[in-house]
Amino acid sequence: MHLSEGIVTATVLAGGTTAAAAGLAVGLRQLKPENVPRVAILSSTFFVASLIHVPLGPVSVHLVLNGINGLLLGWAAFPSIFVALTFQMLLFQFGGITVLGLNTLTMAFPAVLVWIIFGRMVGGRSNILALVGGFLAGSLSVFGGGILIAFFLFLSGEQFLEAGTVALVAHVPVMFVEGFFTSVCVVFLRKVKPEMLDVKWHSERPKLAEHGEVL
Amino acid sequence: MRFLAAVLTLAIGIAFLPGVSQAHKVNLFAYEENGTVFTESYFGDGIPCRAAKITAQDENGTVIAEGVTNEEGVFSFPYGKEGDLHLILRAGMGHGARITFATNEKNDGNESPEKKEGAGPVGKGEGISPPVSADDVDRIVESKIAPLRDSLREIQKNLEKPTFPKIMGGIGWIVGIAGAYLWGVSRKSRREKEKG
Repeated sequence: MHLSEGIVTATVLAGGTTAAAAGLAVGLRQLKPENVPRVAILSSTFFVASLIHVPLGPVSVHLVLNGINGLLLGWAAFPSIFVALTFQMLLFQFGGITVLGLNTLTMAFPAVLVWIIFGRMVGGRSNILALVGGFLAGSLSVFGGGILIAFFLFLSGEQFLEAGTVALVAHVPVMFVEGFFTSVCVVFLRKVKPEMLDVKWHSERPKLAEHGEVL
Repeated sequence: MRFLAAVLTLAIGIAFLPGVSQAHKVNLFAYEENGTVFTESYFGDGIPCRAAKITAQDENGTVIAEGVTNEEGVFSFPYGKEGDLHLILRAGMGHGARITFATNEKNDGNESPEKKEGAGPVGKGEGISPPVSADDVDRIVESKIAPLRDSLREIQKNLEKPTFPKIMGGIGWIVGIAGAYLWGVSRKSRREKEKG
């Protein structure tokens, strides 16, 4: 899922980085201090998941886990994924400094999108709907990331449409794995800690004094 | 907020240190053996990139060979000329690597005189054994260094693998940043409380 350096053009880089910065700003604004540990845990999970490659059919793939990041964090998926990607880059040379913003965008934007679309389903009353919603959120967040990457490469003037289709088809298996994993998480959390799935759009900035007391 | 920004600035600053941002997640490795160029591609954790597309271009950008890697991540093509080869790997979904590989098969201008010098005395000086041609020397050296090269590649692969300490280190960083953020928030709120 990580774009490498030197593949996309400067225009795409600049646009993607700006969009990622905007997402990051929204995420940080809506991040309540009591949710910071949750962000850290999901960030760590994301950080580790990309390191484990599973040979699957003709290609090697890894779990992305951006869907579950979105479902549990909402807009805070942006800072979570950004931090994880930063350390993947620093420690393992994944991606690179110039494409950090772009990579954040390709993974965090679908995460926020699936949260907006499936968040209600996952946190709702029906178990079956939650299961389906979790599956769709997991698989479509990966799919969305793939589409975004294909789109960026296409904008960079590559004859990527064909190769992109091939790569998307290759990612169908991991979409299933990811969807399955996400729905398992959702079902588990509904049983154990259902309030975690109730991620609201916190538009008003929390008063710091209140949360200082909580801390 | 300000503290987090400071930490991130520091992190990004570190990333600009030479070398760090050069490498890619997908590794491409090439070597030449008897007029055949072998390329080997693998992900950071040592798993071969299967069915990844490799394009080889010469200095002028002309495509010399194109193909996909096999189960072991290897793709090979015959190439007997000297000069730099640009090898481009596309492992799908933006995974890619690009290396420049200098081939020095037989006709290499820099090395052939040395080879002749080396081969000459052996033939002349001994007087008993038949003269050894540069080709023979090439072949013998090739066969001797092949296992060495394999083990070097193995070591290189292992070096690039995400090791457990590194993974734990990364998790530690993430938790640390969260802690620093919370510390900043609590300090700020305490100060505001003192004021108000």
